[in-house]
Amino acid sequence: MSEQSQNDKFELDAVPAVRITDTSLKVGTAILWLGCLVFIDTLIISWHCSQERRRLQNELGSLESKHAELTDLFERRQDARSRVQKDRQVIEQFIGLCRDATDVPNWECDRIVSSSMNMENTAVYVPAGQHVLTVVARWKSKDSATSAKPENHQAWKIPLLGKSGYWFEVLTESKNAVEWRLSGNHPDFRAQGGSLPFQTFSDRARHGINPIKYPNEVENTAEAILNPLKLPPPSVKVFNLQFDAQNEHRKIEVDFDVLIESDGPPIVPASKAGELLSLRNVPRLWNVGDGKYGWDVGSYRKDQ
Amino acid sequence: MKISLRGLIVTAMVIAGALLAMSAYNDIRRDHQRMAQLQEEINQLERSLMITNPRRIEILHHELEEFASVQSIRDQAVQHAQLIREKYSHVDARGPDTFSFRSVPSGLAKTGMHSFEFRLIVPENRQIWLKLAVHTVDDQVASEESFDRKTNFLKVSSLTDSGPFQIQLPPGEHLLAICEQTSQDRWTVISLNLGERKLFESKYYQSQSGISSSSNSATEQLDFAPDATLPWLLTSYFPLDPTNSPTQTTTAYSVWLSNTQSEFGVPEGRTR
Repeated sequence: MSEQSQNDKFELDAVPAVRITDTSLKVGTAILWLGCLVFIDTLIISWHCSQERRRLQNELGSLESKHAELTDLFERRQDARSRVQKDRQVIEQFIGLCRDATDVPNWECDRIVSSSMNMENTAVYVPAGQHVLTVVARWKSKDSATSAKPENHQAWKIPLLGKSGYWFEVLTESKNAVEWRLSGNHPDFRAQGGSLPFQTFSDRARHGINPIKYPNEVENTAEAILNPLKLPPPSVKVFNLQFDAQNEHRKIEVDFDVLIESDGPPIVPASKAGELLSLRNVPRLWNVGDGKYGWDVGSYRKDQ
Repeated sequence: MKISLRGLIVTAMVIAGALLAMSAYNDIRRDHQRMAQLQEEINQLERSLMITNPRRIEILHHELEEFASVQSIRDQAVQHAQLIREKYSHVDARGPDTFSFRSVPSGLAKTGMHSFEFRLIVPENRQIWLKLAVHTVDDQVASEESFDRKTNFLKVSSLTDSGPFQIQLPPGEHLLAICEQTSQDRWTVISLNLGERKLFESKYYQSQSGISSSSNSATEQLDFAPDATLPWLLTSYFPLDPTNSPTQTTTAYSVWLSNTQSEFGVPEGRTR
Protein backbone atom coordinates (compact mmCIF):
# COMPACT_ATOMS: atom_id res chain seq x y z
CA MET A 1 0.00 0.00 0.00
CA SER A 2 2.61 2.29 1.01
CA GLU A 3 4.54 1.36 -2.12
CA GLN A 4 1.47 1.96 -4.28
CA SER A 5 0.70 5.20 -2.58
CA GLN A 6 4.28 6.12 -3.16
CA ASN A 7 3.84 5.31 -6.91
CA ASP A 8 0.62 7.37 -6.98
CA LYS A 9 2.45 10.13 -5.39
CA PHE A 10 5.18 9.82 -7.97
CA GLU A 11 2.62 9.92 -10.82
CA LEU A 12 0.89 12.83 -9.20
CA ASP A 13 4.19 14.53 -8.88
CA ALA A 14 5.25 13.67 -12.47
CA VAL A 15 2.20 15.18 -14.22
CA PRO A 16 2.78 18.82 -13.28
CA ALA A 17 6.46 18.44 -14.32
CA VAL A 18 5.41 17.40 -17.86
CA ARG A 19 2.95 20.35 -18.09
CA ILE A 20 5.61 22.86 -17.11
CA THR A 21 7.94 21.62 -19.86
CA ASP A 22 5.19 22.09 -22.52
CA THR A 23 4.47 25.63 -21.42
CA SER A 24 8.16 26.47 -21.47
CA LEU A 25 8.33 25.02 -24.91
CA LYS A 26 5.45 27.15 -26.10
CA VAL A 27 6.85 30.24 -24.45
CA GLY A 28 10.27 29.46 -25.85
CA THR A 29 8.80 28.96 -29.31
CA ALA A 30 6.82 32.17 -28.98
CA ILE A 31 9.91 34.04 -27.90
CA LEU A 32 11.78 32.51 -30.80
CA TRP A 33 9.08 33.67 -33.23
CA LEU A 34 8.93 37.02 -31.56
CA GLY A 35 12.69 37.25 -31.82
CA CYS A 36 12.48 36.32 -35.46
CA LEU A 37 9.81 38.93 -36.01
CA VAL A 38 11.88 41.54 -34.18
CA PHE A 39 14.87 40.52 -36.23
CA ILE A 40 12.90 40.71 -39.47
CA ASP A 41 11.52 44.08 -38.40
CA THR A 42 14.98 45.37 -37.70
CA LEU A 43 16.08 44.03 -41.07
CA ILE A 44 13.20 45.87 -42.71
CA ILE A 45 14.02 49.01 -40.73
CA SER A 46 17.66 48.66 -41.72
CA TRP A 47 16.67 48.26 -45.34
CA HIS A 48 14.51 51.39 -45.14
CA CYS A 49 17.36 53.16 -43.40
CA SER A 50 19.74 52.14 -46.15
CA GLN A 51 17.24 53.40 -48.75
CA GLU A 52 16.89 56.65 -46.82
CA ARG A 53 20.69 56.87 -46.57
CA ARG A 54 21.06 56.35 -50.27
CA ARG A 55 18.66 59.25 -50.82
CA LEU A 56 20.52 61.35 -48.25
CA GLN A 57 23.85 60.45 -49.86
CA ASN A 58 22.51 61.72 -53.19
CA GLU A 59 21.36 64.95 -51.53
CA LEU A 60 24.67 65.21 -49.69
CA GLY A 61 26.53 64.68 -52.96
CA SER A 62 24.67 67.51 -54.66
CA LEU A 63 25.13 69.76 -51.58
CA GLU A 64 28.84 68.93 -51.48
CA SER A 65 29.28 69.72 -55.14
CA LYS A 66 27.39 73.02 -54.69
CA HIS A 67 29.52 73.77 -51.62
CA ALA A 68 32.72 72.97 -53.53
CA GLU A 69 31.61 75.15 -56.44
CA LEU A 70 30.76 78.10 -54.17
CA THR A 71 33.97 77.67 -52.14
CA ASP A 72 36.01 77.65 -55.34
CA LEU A 73 34.20 80.75 -56.63
CA PHE A 74 34.61 82.48 -53.26
CA GLU A 75 38.34 81.71 -53.04
CA ARG A 76 39.00 82.67 -56.66
CA ARG A 77 37.12 85.92 -56.11
CA GLN A 78 39.00 86.69 -52.87
CA ASP A 79 42.35 85.98 -54.58
CA ALA A 80 41.40 88.00 -57.64
CA ARG A 81 40.13 90.93 -55.55
CA SER A 82 43.30 91.15 -53.47
CA ARG A 83 45.49 90.69 -56.55
CA VAL A 84 43.64 93.32 -58.61
CA GLN A 85 44.46 96.01 -56.03
CA LYS A 86 48.17 95.23 -56.37
CA ASP A 87 47.84 95.05 -60.16
CA ARG A 88 46.28 98.53 -60.21
CA GLN A 89 49.12 99.90 -58.06
CA VAL A 90 51.72 98.42 -60.42
CA ILE A 91 49.94 99.91 -63.46
CA GLU A 92 49.72 103.27 -61.68
CA GLN A 93 53.46 103.10 -60.88
CA PHE A 94 54.17 102.24 -64.49
CA ILE A 95 52.27 105.31 -65.75
CA GLY A 96 54.43 107.33 -63.35
CA LEU A 97 57.55 106.07 -65.17
CA CYS A 98 56.41 107.41 -68.56
CA ARG A 99 57.98 110.70 -69.60
CA ASP A 100 56.34 111.29 -72.98
CA ALA A 101 53.83 109.75 -75.40
CA THR A 102 56.42 107.40 -76.91
CA ASP A 103 56.73 105.67 -73.52
CA VAL A 104 53.06 104.63 -73.57
CA PRO A 105 52.86 101.04 -74.86
CA ASN A 106 50.16 99.94 -77.25
CA TRP A 107 48.53 97.66 -74.75
CA GLU A 108 46.60 94.61 -75.84
CA CYS A 109 43.51 95.58 -73.88
CA ASP A 110 40.10 97.18 -74.13
CA ARG A 111 40.65 99.72 -71.34
CA ILE A 112 41.59 103.35 -71.09
CA VAL A 113 44.76 103.41 -68.96
CA SER A 114 45.79 106.66 -67.27
CA SER A 115 47.00 107.90 -63.94
CA SER A 116 47.31 111.31 -62.43
CA MET A 117 50.33 110.59 -60.23
CA ASN A 118 51.39 114.23 -60.30
CA MET A 119 49.76 117.55 -61.02
CA GLU A 120 51.65 118.37 -64.20
CA ASN A 121 51.11 115.48 -66.59
CA THR A 122 49.66 112.08 -67.31
CA ALA A 123 50.11 109.31 -69.84
CA VAL A 124 46.90 108.00 -71.41
CA TYR A 125 46.26 104.90 -73.50
CA VAL A 126 43.01 104.54 -75.47
CA PRO A 127 41.98 101.18 -76.98
CA ALA A 128 40.57 100.58 -80.46
CA GLY A 129 37.38 102.53 -81.18
CA GLN A 130 36.30 106.13 -81.56
CA HIS A 131 37.23 108.51 -78.78
CA VAL A 132 37.10 112.26 -78.23
CA LEU A 133 39.22 113.92 -75.58
CA THR A 134 37.64 116.94 -73.91
CA VAL A 135 39.70 119.48 -71.99
CA VAL A 136 37.43 121.62 -69.88
CA ALA A 137 38.18 124.43 -67.44
CA ARG A 138 35.45 125.87 -65.25
CA TRP A 139 36.13 128.86 -63.06
CA LYS A 140 34.44 131.28 -60.74
CA SER A 141 35.47 134.21 -58.63
CA LYS A 142 36.80 133.33 -55.18
CA ASP A 143 34.51 136.04 -53.80
CA SER A 144 31.51 134.07 -55.00
CA ALA A 145 32.80 130.86 -53.42
CA THR A 146 29.40 130.24 -51.89
CA SER A 147 27.88 129.90 -55.32
CA ALA A 148 28.11 126.32 -56.54
CA LYS A 149 27.81 127.19 -60.23
CA PRO A 150 30.92 128.15 -62.21
CA GLU A 151 30.76 131.59 -63.78
CA ASN A 152 32.65 130.71 -66.88
CA HIS A 153 34.11 127.81 -68.73
CA GLN A 154 36.22 126.97 -71.75
CA ALA A 155 36.41 123.59 -73.48
CA TRP A 156 38.36 121.93 -76.28
CA LYS A 157 37.40 118.71 -78.06
CA ILE A 158 40.11 116.63 -79.76
CA PRO A 159 39.32 113.42 -81.69
CA LEU A 160 41.78 110.68 -80.74
CA LEU A 161 43.07 107.78 -82.79
CA GLY A 162 42.28 104.41 -81.21
CA LYS A 163 44.91 101.95 -79.99
CA SER A 164 47.37 104.78 -79.28
CA GLY A 165 49.18 106.39 -76.39
CA TYR A 166 49.02 110.09 -75.46
CA TRP A 167 50.86 112.47 -73.15
CA PHE A 168 48.89 115.30 -71.57
CA GLU A 169 50.71 118.03 -69.69
CA VAL A 170 49.91 121.31 -68.00
CA LEU A 171 52.61 123.96 -68.44
CA THR A 172 52.82 126.60 -65.78
CA GLU A 173 56.09 128.35 -66.69
CA SER A 174 54.29 131.11 -68.57
CA LYS A 175 53.31 133.91 -66.22
CA ASN A 176 50.44 135.09 -68.38
CA ALA A 177 48.62 131.85 -69.05
CA VAL A 178 48.14 128.30 -67.97
CA GLU A 179 48.85 126.15 -71.01
CA TRP A 180 48.09 122.54 -71.80
CA ARG A 181 49.57 120.30 -74.48
CA LEU A 182 48.56 116.90 -75.86
CA SER A 183 50.92 114.74 -77.91
CA GLY A 184 50.45 111.21 -79.19
CA ASN A 185 52.55 108.21 -80.20
CA HIS A 186 50.56 107.60 -83.40
CA PRO A 187 52.39 109.01 -86.47
CA ASP A 188 49.11 110.48 -87.79
CA PHE A 189 48.30 112.38 -84.61
CA ARG A 190 49.40 116.01 -84.50
CA ALA A 191 50.21 117.52 -81.09
CA GLN A 192 47.65 120.06 -79.89
CA GLY A 193 47.45 122.61 -77.15
CA GLY A 194 45.59 125.51 -75.66
CA SER A 195 45.89 128.17 -73.02
CA LEU A 196 43.73 129.61 -70.30
CA PRO A 197 43.91 133.33 -69.52
CA PHE A 198 45.13 132.94 -65.96
CA GLN A 199 48.14 134.75 -64.61
CA THR A 200 49.34 132.77 -61.65
CA PHE A 201 48.12 129.86 -59.74
CA SER A 202 48.63 128.19 -56.42
CA ASP A 203 47.05 125.87 -53.81
CA ARG A 204 46.72 123.02 -56.19
CA ALA A 205 44.82 119.84 -55.43
CA ARG A 206 43.63 116.82 -57.33
CA HIS A 207 41.28 113.89 -56.88
CA GLY A 208 42.53 110.33 -57.14
CA ILE A 209 41.72 108.72 -60.46
CA ASN A 210 41.16 105.04 -61.15
CA PRO A 211 44.04 104.10 -63.49
CA ILE A 212 42.14 101.50 -65.55
CA LYS A 213 38.70 102.15 -66.94
CA TYR A 214 36.52 100.74 -69.66
CA PRO A 215 35.60 103.38 -72.27
CA ASN A 216 32.43 105.12 -71.06
CA GLU A 217 32.66 103.38 -67.68
CA VAL A 218 30.12 104.75 -65.20
CA GLU A 219 32.58 105.60 -62.45
CA ASN A 220 30.12 106.68 -59.79
CA THR A 221 27.44 104.00 -59.95
CA ALA A 222 25.91 105.18 -56.66
CA GLU A 223 25.33 108.67 -58.04
CA ALA A 224 24.08 107.23 -61.33
CA ILE A 225 21.58 105.09 -59.42
CA LEU A 226 20.41 108.04 -57.32
CA ASN A 227 20.15 110.49 -60.20
CA PRO A 228 19.74 108.51 -63.43
CA LEU A 229 17.98 111.48 -64.99
CA LYS A 230 20.97 113.74 -64.38
CA LEU A 231 23.59 111.43 -65.87
CA PRO A 232 25.98 113.33 -68.12
CA PRO A 233 26.94 111.80 -71.48
CA PRO A 234 29.11 108.74 -70.78
CA SER A 235 32.81 109.57 -70.43
CA VAL A 236 35.79 108.79 -68.20
CA LYS A 237 38.03 111.28 -66.42
CA VAL A 238 41.77 110.90 -67.05
CA PHE A 239 43.16 114.07 -65.46
CA ASN A 240 41.94 116.48 -62.83
CA LEU A 241 43.42 119.59 -61.28
CA GLN A 242 41.99 122.26 -59.03
CA PHE A 243 43.83 125.51 -58.53
CA ASP A 244 43.56 129.14 -57.54
CA ALA A 245 44.48 131.67 -60.18
CA GLN A 246 44.36 135.33 -60.95
CA ASN A 247 42.39 136.64 -63.89
CA GLU A 248 42.46 140.43 -64.50
CA HIS A 249 43.29 141.13 -60.84
CA ARG A 250 40.45 138.90 -59.74
CA LYS A 251 41.12 135.79 -57.70
CA ILE A 252 39.43 132.78 -59.17
CA GLU A 253 39.00 129.08 -58.45
CA VAL A 254 39.56 126.75 -61.39
CA ASP A 255 38.43 123.15 -61.95
CA PHE A 256 40.43 121.63 -64.77
CA ASP A 257 39.33 118.23 -66.13
CA VAL A 258 40.33 116.02 -69.03
CA LEU A 259 37.66 113.53 -70.11
CA ILE A 260 37.39 110.92 -72.84
CA GLU A 261 34.05 110.20 -74.51
CA SER A 262 33.90 107.00 -76.53
CA ASP A 263 31.41 105.41 -78.88
CA GLY A 264 29.10 102.83 -77.35
CA PRO A 265 26.80 102.67 -74.33
CA PRO A 266 27.63 103.49 -70.72
CA ILE A 267 29.58 100.57 -69.31
CA VAL A 268 29.33 98.98 -65.88
CA PRO A 269 32.21 96.68 -64.88
CA ALA A 270 31.08 93.26 -63.65
CA SER A 271 32.53 94.09 -60.21
CA LYS A 272 29.96 96.89 -59.90
CA ALA A 273 27.07 95.24 -61.74
CA GLY A 274 26.04 93.28 -58.63
CA GLU A 275 25.15 96.53 -56.82
CA LEU A 276 22.68 97.41 -59.55
CA LEU A 277 20.93 94.05 -59.26
CA SER A 278 19.92 94.83 -55.70
CA LEU A 279 17.87 97.83 -56.82
CA ARG A 280 14.12 97.72 -56.68
CA ASN A 281 13.95 98.84 -60.26
CA VAL A 282 16.76 96.76 -61.76
CA PRO A 283 18.39 98.58 -64.69
CA ARG A 284 18.76 96.72 -67.97
CA LEU A 285 22.28 95.36 -68.22
CA TRP A 286 23.58 93.17 -70.96
CA ASN A 287 26.89 91.34 -71.10
CA VAL A 288 29.21 92.85 -73.70
CA GLY A 289 32.11 90.49 -72.93
CA ASP A 290 35.45 90.76 -71.13
CA GLY A 291 33.91 91.39 -67.73
CA LYS A 292 31.68 94.33 -68.59
CA TYR A 293 28.00 95.13 -69.06
CA GLY A 294 26.26 97.69 -71.21
CA TRP A 295 23.76 99.83 -69.30
CA ASP A 296 20.60 100.79 -71.10
CA VAL A 297 20.28 104.13 -69.31
CA GLY A 298 17.55 105.26 -71.74
CA SER A 299 15.21 102.47 -70.72
CA TYR A 300 16.11 103.05 -67.08
CA ARG A 301 15.10 106.70 -67.42
CA LYS A 302 11.79 105.72 -69.00
CA ASP A 303 11.10 103.19 -66.23
CA GLN A 304 11.50 105.83 -63.51
CA MET B 1 20.27 28.62 -14.74
CA LYS B 2 19.55 26.84 -17.97
CA ILE B 3 20.15 28.81 -21.16
CA SER B 4 18.56 27.26 -24.17
CA LEU B 5 20.11 27.33 -27.62
CA ARG B 6 16.97 28.89 -29.04
CA GLY B 7 17.13 31.61 -26.42
CA LEU B 8 20.70 32.28 -27.37
CA ILE B 9 19.82 32.44 -31.07
CA VAL B 10 16.92 34.77 -30.42
CA THR B 11 19.00 37.03 -28.20
CA ALA B 12 21.80 37.13 -30.76
CA MET B 13 19.34 37.92 -33.56
CA VAL B 14 17.66 40.69 -31.60
CA ILE B 15 21.00 42.18 -30.58
CA ALA B 16 22.30 41.93 -34.15
CA GLY B 17 19.11 43.50 -35.47
CA ALA B 18 19.24 46.24 -32.85
CA LEU B 19 22.87 46.98 -33.65
CA LEU B 20 22.09 47.07 -37.34
CA ALA B 21 19.18 49.43 -36.82
CA MET B 22 21.20 51.63 -34.43
CA SER B 23 24.06 51.80 -36.85
CA ALA B 24 21.71 52.75 -39.70
CA TYR B 25 20.02 55.35 -37.47
CA ASN B 26 23.42 56.81 -36.48
CA ASP B 27 24.46 56.96 -40.12
CA ILE B 28 21.27 58.81 -41.00
CA ARG B 29 21.72 61.18 -38.07
CA ARG B 30 25.32 61.83 -39.12
CA ASP B 31 24.20 62.48 -42.69
CA HIS B 32 21.55 64.91 -41.45
CA GLN B 33 24.16 66.72 -39.34
CA ARG B 34 26.56 66.90 -42.28
CA MET B 35 23.75 68.18 -44.51
CA ALA B 36 22.79 70.83 -41.98
CA GLN B 37 26.46 71.86 -41.66
CA LEU B 38 26.91 72.00 -45.44
CA GLN B 39 23.68 73.96 -45.85
CA GLU B 40 24.83 76.46 -43.22
CA GLU B 41 28.20 76.86 -44.96
CA ILE B 42 26.46 77.23 -48.33
CA ASN B 43 24.21 79.92 -46.84
CA GLN B 44 27.27 81.73 -45.47
CA LEU B 45 29.03 81.52 -48.83
CA GLU B 46 25.92 82.75 -50.60
CA ARG B 47 25.69 85.68 -48.19
CA SER B 48 29.39 86.50 -48.72
CA LEU B 49 28.99 86.32 -52.47
CA MET B 50 25.67 88.18 -52.20
CA ILE B 51 23.92 85.63 -54.37
CA THR B 52 20.42 86.96 -54.07
CA ASN B 53 19.72 86.75 -57.75
CA PRO B 54 20.49 83.90 -60.18
CA ARG B 55 22.22 86.47 -62.43
CA ARG B 56 24.64 87.14 -59.63
CA ILE B 57 26.54 83.88 -60.31
CA GLU B 58 26.93 84.87 -63.96
CA ILE B 59 28.14 88.33 -62.89
CA LEU B 60 30.66 86.78 -60.48
CA HIS B 61 32.17 84.76 -63.33
CA HIS B 62 32.36 87.91 -65.47
CA GLU B 63 33.99 89.71 -62.53
CA LEU B 64 36.80 87.13 -62.66
CA GLU B 65 37.19 87.88 -66.39
CA GLU B 66 37.39 91.60 -65.56
CA PHE B 67 40.13 91.02 -62.99
CA ALA B 68 42.03 88.65 -65.30
CA SER B 69 42.20 91.38 -67.95
CA VAL B 70 43.66 93.80 -65.36
CA GLN B 71 46.34 91.21 -64.60
CA SER B 72 47.15 91.01 -68.32
CA ILE B 73 47.60 94.83 -68.45
CA ARG B 74 49.82 94.62 -65.37
CA ASP B 75 52.01 91.93 -66.98
CA GLN B 76 52.45 94.10 -70.07
CA ALA B 77 53.31 97.10 -67.84
CA VAL B 78 56.00 95.11 -66.01
CA GLN B 79 57.61 94.12 -69.34
CA HIS B 80 57.46 97.66 -70.69
CA ALA B 81 58.81 99.20 -67.47
CA GLN B 82 62.15 97.54 -68.12
CA LEU B 83 62.29 99.11 -71.62
CA ILE B 84 61.56 102.57 -70.20
CA ARG B 85 64.23 102.09 -67.55
CA GLU B 86 66.81 101.19 -70.19
CA LYS B 87 65.72 104.12 -72.37
CA TYR B 88 66.34 106.68 -69.60
CA SER B 89 69.36 105.12 -67.94
CA HIS B 90 72.09 106.15 -70.34
CA VAL B 91 74.61 108.87 -69.46
CA ASP B 92 77.52 109.97 -71.71
CA ALA B 93 80.93 110.85 -70.25
CA ARG B 94 81.85 114.51 -70.98
CA GLY B 95 85.53 114.54 -70.07
CA PRO B 96 87.83 114.11 -67.07
CA ASP B 97 86.52 117.23 -65.24
CA THR B 98 82.79 117.02 -65.84
CA PHE B 99 80.39 115.37 -63.43
CA SER B 100 77.30 113.98 -65.23
CA PHE B 101 74.02 113.06 -63.65
CA ARG B 102 70.53 111.84 -64.51
CA SER B 103 67.59 110.44 -62.56
CA VAL B 104 66.60 106.94 -63.70
CA PRO B 105 63.01 105.59 -63.62
CA SER B 106 63.23 103.23 -60.70
CA GLY B 107 61.13 100.45 -62.18
CA LEU B 108 58.18 98.88 -60.47
CA ALA B 109 58.97 98.70 -56.79
CA LYS B 110 57.64 96.05 -54.47
CA THR B 111 54.83 96.88 -52.04
CA GLY B 112 56.10 99.16 -49.26
CA MET B 113 59.25 100.02 -51.22
CA HIS B 114 60.20 103.44 -52.55
CA SER B 115 63.31 103.68 -54.63
CA PHE B 116 65.07 106.73 -56.11
CA GLU B 117 67.82 105.98 -58.58
CA PHE B 118 70.44 108.19 -60.22
CA ARG B 119 73.06 107.46 -62.86
CA LEU B 120 76.30 109.32 -62.13
CA ILE B 121 79.64 109.71 -63.90
CA VAL B 122 82.27 110.76 -61.36
CA PRO B 123 85.25 112.30 -63.22
CA GLU B 124 88.85 111.25 -62.53
CA ASN B 125 90.09 114.74 -61.67
CA ARG B 126 87.48 115.73 -59.09
CA GLN B 127 86.44 114.83 -55.58
CA ILE B 128 82.69 114.25 -55.37
CA TRP B 129 81.10 113.86 -51.95
CA LEU B 130 77.76 112.21 -51.24
CA LYS B 131 76.22 113.65 -48.07
CA LEU B 132 73.27 112.77 -45.86
CA ALA B 133 71.93 114.74 -42.89
CA VAL B 134 68.81 115.05 -40.75
CA HIS B 135 67.22 118.48 -40.30
CA THR B 136 63.95 120.13 -39.35
CA VAL B 137 61.39 120.59 -42.11
CA ASP B 138 61.70 124.37 -41.79
CA ASP B 139 65.17 124.09 -43.34
CA GLN B 140 64.18 123.74 -46.97
CA VAL B 141 66.95 122.72 -49.32
CA ALA B 142 67.77 126.09 -50.85
CA SER B 143 70.98 124.80 -52.40
CA GLU B 144 73.53 122.15 -51.57
CA GLU B 145 76.08 124.88 -50.89
CA SER B 146 73.93 126.34 -48.14
CA PHE B 147 73.44 122.83 -46.80
CA ASP B 148 77.18 122.31 -46.77
CA ARG B 149 77.52 125.39 -44.57
CA LYS B 150 74.76 124.41 -42.17
CA THR B 151 75.84 123.55 -38.66
CA ASN B 152 72.53 122.76 -36.95
CA PHE B 153 71.84 119.31 -38.35
CA LEU B 154 70.04 116.98 -35.95
CA LYS B 155 72.41 114.35 -34.61
CA VAL B 156 69.62 112.62 -32.71
CA SER B 157 66.25 111.85 -34.31
CA SER B 158 63.95 108.87 -34.71
CA LEU B 159 66.46 107.61 -37.30
CA THR B 160 68.65 105.05 -35.57
CA ASP B 161 71.69 106.62 -37.24
CA SER B 162 71.22 110.31 -37.98
CA GLY B 163 74.63 111.39 -39.24
CA PRO B 164 75.49 113.81 -40.75
CA PHE B 165 77.59 111.62 -43.02
CA GLN B 166 79.70 112.06 -46.13
CA ILE B 167 81.21 109.51 -48.48
CA GLN B 168 83.64 110.27 -51.28
CA LEU B 169 82.42 108.64 -54.48
CA PRO B 170 85.00 106.68 -56.50
CA PRO B 171 85.62 107.76 -60.12
CA GLY B 172 83.61 106.02 -62.81
CA GLU B 173 80.00 105.44 -63.82
CA HIS B 174 77.66 104.42 -60.99
CA LEU B 175 74.02 103.74 -60.25
CA LEU B 176 73.17 105.36 -56.93
CA ALA B 177 69.96 104.02 -55.33
CA ILE B 178 68.24 105.47 -52.27
CA CYS B 179 65.69 102.93 -51.03
CA GLU B 180 63.02 103.17 -48.37
CA GLN B 181 61.47 99.84 -47.45
CA THR B 182 58.61 99.81 -44.95
CA SER B 183 57.90 96.43 -43.40
CA GLN B 184 54.73 95.09 -41.80
CA ASP B 185 56.03 96.03 -38.33
CA ARG B 186 56.13 99.73 -39.40
CA TRP B 187 59.91 100.05 -39.44
CA THR B 188 61.20 101.89 -42.49
CA VAL B 189 64.74 100.98 -43.52
CA ILE B 190 66.65 103.60 -45.49
CA SER B 191 69.59 102.42 -47.52
CA LEU B 192 72.02 104.08 -49.93
CA ASN B 193 73.58 101.75 -52.46
CA LEU B 194 76.25 102.44 -55.07
CA GLY B 195 75.77 99.61 -57.54
CA GLU B 196 75.98 96.45 -55.45
CA ARG B 197 77.77 98.19 -52.55
CA LYS B 198 75.77 99.32 -49.55
CA LEU B 199 77.05 102.75 -48.42
CA PHE B 200 74.70 103.44 -45.55
CA GLU B 201 71.70 102.00 -43.73
CA SER B 202 69.48 103.40 -41.02
CA LYS B 203 65.86 102.99 -39.96
CA TYR B 204 63.00 104.68 -38.15
CA TYR B 205 59.69 103.58 -36.64
CA GLN B 206 56.39 105.17 -37.55
CA SER B 207 53.07 104.03 -36.13
CA GLN B 208 51.15 105.04 -39.25
CA SER B 209 51.86 104.22 -42.85
CA GLY B 210 52.73 106.79 -45.49
CA ILE B 211 55.92 108.39 -46.74
CA SER B 212 56.30 111.86 -48.14
CA SER B 213 59.37 112.79 -50.10
CA SER B 214 60.60 114.91 -52.98
CA SER B 215 63.44 113.99 -55.25
CA ASN B 216 65.50 115.41 -58.09
CA SER B 217 63.70 114.47 -61.30
CA ALA B 218 66.34 115.38 -63.88
CA THR B 219 64.90 113.42 -66.80
CA GLU B 220 67.73 114.51 -69.13
CA GLN B 221 71.45 114.24 -68.53
CA LEU B 222 72.87 117.22 -66.59
CA ASP B 223 76.60 118.05 -66.77
CA PHE B 224 78.47 119.95 -64.07
CA ALA B 225 81.76 121.74 -64.73
CA PRO B 226 84.24 121.93 -61.79
CA ASP B 227 82.90 125.31 -60.66
CA ALA B 228 79.21 124.32 -60.88
CA THR B 229 77.16 123.50 -57.82
CA LEU B 230 76.31 119.80 -57.66
CA PRO B 231 72.71 118.60 -57.41
CA TRP B 232 70.51 117.92 -54.43
CA LEU B 233 69.03 114.40 -54.72
CA LEU B 234 66.31 113.75 -52.16
CA THR B 235 64.47 115.06 -49.12
CA SER B 236 62.29 112.55 -47.29
CA TYR B 237 60.12 113.43 -44.32
CA PHE B 238 59.66 111.34 -41.21
CA PRO B 239 58.05 112.02 -37.82
CA LEU B 240 60.16 113.05 -34.83
CA ASP B 241 57.53 111.39 -32.67
CA PRO B 242 56.79 107.88 -34.04
CA THR B 243 53.13 108.11 -32.96
CA ASN B 244 52.49 111.17 -35.15
CA SER B 245 50.83 110.80 -38.52
CA PRO B 246 52.95 111.29 -41.66
CA THR B 247 51.32 114.71 -42.13
CA GLN B 248 52.68 115.87 -38.78
CA THR B 249 56.29 115.33 -39.72
CA THR B 250 58.74 117.82 -38.31
CA THR B 251 61.98 116.23 -39.47
CA ALA B 252 63.45 115.10 -42.76
CA TYR B 253 66.66 113.68 -44.07
CA SER B 254 68.28 115.02 -47.22
CA VAL B 255 70.82 113.50 -49.57
CA TRP B 256 72.92 115.74 -51.82
CA LEU B 257 76.18 115.86 -53.73
CA SER B 258 78.97 118.31 -53.11
CA ASN B 259 82.36 119.37 -54.46
CA THR B 260 83.67 120.11 -51.00
CA GLN B 261 84.39 118.04 -47.96
CA SER B 262 82.54 118.92 -44.73
CA GLU B 263 83.24 118.13 -41.10
CA PHE B 264 80.82 115.21 -41.31
CA GLY B 265 81.47 111.70 -40.11
CA VAL B 266 81.52 108.55 -42.19
CA PRO B 267 78.86 105.86 -41.89
CA GLU B 268 79.64 103.00 -39.51
CA GLY B 269 81.86 100.34 -41.05
CA ARG B 270 83.35 102.72 -43.64
CA THR B 271 86.60 104.69 -43.63
CA ARG B 272 86.98 108.16 -44.99
